[in-house]
Amino acid sequence: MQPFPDRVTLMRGMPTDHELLADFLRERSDRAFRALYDRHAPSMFALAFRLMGRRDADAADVLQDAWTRAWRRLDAFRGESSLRTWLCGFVVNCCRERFREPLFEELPDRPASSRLDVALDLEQALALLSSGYRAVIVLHDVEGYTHREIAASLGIDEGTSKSQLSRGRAALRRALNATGRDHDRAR
Amino acid sequence: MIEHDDDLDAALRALPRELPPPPHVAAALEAMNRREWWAAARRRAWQGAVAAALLVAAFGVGRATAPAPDATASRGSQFAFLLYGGDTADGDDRAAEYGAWARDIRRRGLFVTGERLADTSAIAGAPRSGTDLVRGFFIVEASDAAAALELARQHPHVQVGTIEVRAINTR
Repeated sequence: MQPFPDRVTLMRGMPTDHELLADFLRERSDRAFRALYDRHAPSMFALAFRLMGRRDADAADVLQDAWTRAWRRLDAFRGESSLRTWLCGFVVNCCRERFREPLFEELPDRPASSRLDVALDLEQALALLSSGYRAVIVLHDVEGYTHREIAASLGIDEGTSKSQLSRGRAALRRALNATGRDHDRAR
Repeated sequence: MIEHDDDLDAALRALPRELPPPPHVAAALEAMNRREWWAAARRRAWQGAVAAALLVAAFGVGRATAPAPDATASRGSQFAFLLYGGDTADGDDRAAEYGAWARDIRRRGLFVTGERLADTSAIAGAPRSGTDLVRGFFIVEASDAAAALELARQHPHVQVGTIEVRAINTR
């Protein structure tokens, strides 16, 4: 996975995730806990924030829930993926449980609504997409998941992931362009 | 305006992949970590106490139910060395050699004792047919009959007489 570079850059002398995990599992030390949190929570929060449609409180709730669940299953972490990928899997699951609508029900494209008469940036446009479109775009285009990984994370077929990505991007583009036209007319 | 997929891809890729989480989340999770640490410490303490109690109980049960140690088991078997023949004239010289043999066996951690017998004897009960006179005896500890026989072969008396090795029946 991760076609995009991992943003964590380990400086010389910094403990690796595995070293911190071993330290934490041995002593449950605050130091190791805080080091791992500081290293990975910002990514988890960013993912939760986008998947939850920029709802701050919901994203914080997801982060806390996902971290707690992951921490109670640390013994099960086998290192088959990076720790960050593993942690983000808990974020996706927690978000899925909170989505207020079925992920991939046939929904009309919503970005053409009047809510887009205000200035939009990309983040806001993403937030106004249906949760299904948003999830696939965020996981694929922002986080770098493959369709296979998205399918496994969201419990859907790879084909569904691909089609939702295509339709989601179209909806996102229409939203952004509509906003651009609104801005041009206003000048 | 975003008209091409490439533009959209680039814009999405440029989004920050890290955002600072609200401080209250870290505080809540640290508190959770400490609670779980204490819970685990309490569990470990209980488990340790239970394990120690079980160990003490098992030790007590073992002491109460284990068979009494066999006093002879660790000491091997005992054998009588009956010494026949040999001239009695140089008995004192041989006694020194026999004493040295016995001390050597003791140094190996084995029990040994013995005495020289007088040349005269009295018979009680039915008369015996043999004419050989037992001149002395040793009681020797050995692991088995073969070891006892080997000790007997090393005894200086075999240079002048005969040693009969007989197991002492302790059962």
